[in-house]
Amino acid sequence: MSSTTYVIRHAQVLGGEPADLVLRDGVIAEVTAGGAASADGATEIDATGLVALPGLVDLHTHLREPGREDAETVESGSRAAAAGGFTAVFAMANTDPVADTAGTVEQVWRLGHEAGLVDVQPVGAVTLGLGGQQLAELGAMATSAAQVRVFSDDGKCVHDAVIMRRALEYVKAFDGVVAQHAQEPRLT
Amino acid sequence: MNEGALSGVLGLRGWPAVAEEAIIARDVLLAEHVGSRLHVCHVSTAGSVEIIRTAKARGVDVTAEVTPHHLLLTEESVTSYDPVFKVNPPLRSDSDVQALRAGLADGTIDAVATDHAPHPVEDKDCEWDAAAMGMLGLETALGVVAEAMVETGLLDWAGVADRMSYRPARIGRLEGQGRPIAVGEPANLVLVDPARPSTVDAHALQSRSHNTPYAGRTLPVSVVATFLRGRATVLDGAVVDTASLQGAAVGA
Repeated sequence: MSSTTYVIRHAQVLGGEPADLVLRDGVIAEVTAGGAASADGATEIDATGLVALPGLVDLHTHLREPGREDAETVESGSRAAAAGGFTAVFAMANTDPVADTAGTVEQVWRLGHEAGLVDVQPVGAVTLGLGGQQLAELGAMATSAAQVRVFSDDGKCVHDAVIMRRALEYVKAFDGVVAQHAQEPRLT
Repeated sequence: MNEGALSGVLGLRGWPAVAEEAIIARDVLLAEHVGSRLHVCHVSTAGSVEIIRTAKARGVDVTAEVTPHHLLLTEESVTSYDPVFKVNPPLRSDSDVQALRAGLADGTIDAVATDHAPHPVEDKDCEWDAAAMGMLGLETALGVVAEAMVETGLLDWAGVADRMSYRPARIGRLEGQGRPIAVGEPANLVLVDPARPSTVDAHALQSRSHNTPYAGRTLPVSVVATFLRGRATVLDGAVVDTASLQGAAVGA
């Protein structure tokens, strides 16, 4: 971890009155009236006129790795996310191979950790290979190091009503959620 | 593209609103029947907003997201036949955009999610039918939301924090993210300059791809700094060198 302590001066927290924020050891150590925070040894940032928001969280990102590293990698996508103000992104499962096993979601999770710019939280596929026919091992992904809680065949719709029902039932066991790409394939 | 009068004029295959709405209607009923949790990706039509609003009123455990591009762009962009505007679900009508904004403002739609979809140039610089679907979103999301929601008075910054941080983290059960700015909380922060517009340069983005629909467009705000658990990942608008970050991580 970085040992840098930051004092952010006169930031408008959520657009409100100016305040000083002290960031130390990974947490917000102080929130005081603008100009009032103590600053011994800290790096000062003048945030006069700036709005402070909690780090943005994107539920729906395609990082393309593994498989299409010519389009994006976990590292380049993490840079894009940080530049956009994000501190966490959920990486969709339609990679090659598809993120439908504990091994693949752990690989993406580990690549995100190594890039170190945002928390990369893998999304697991609902069905094997996004094929829509057979449920993937949702439980194994949930108990993996990546602790997957969001499952989606995004890019494709879980169009079979029985498969969708079983997926909804399955994710209840670990407080997961099915994120549906809603597109009836017979109508498009 | 969106099925309607314009798709007929342009001679492009239509993707009708009902194809989205029929699945959402079925799925909220399934989620209610089994007592489970459903999240709807990239809601794009006024009818979808209405179905989700009704389901929430019935007590169904459903959440939904909208993309920045569906909050700002319409099917009119497709008259250029430029595949940078080809996306799934397609850009819809202005009345859909207004309904999506209203749904995000009143909380029917819980979150903004980018559907950031990078594609190499050979998959986008080609005729419409052959082109891949999707557009970049991560680096422009906040600016688009500022234009579509903040400048219009539909959301204040607290509302932006709710729809782009608190709620998405909670939907994904991501601990340590989407927390309030308060003593003792993880130092995950972004500093935004609300008075410094930024013009999008497709070739200056951090993404490895360039397929942004906002190239040359000026968005009303700029990201100045980002902090992940107290470490600066962006300072003065520039990404902090990752090599030094990795060195710090190894030393930890």
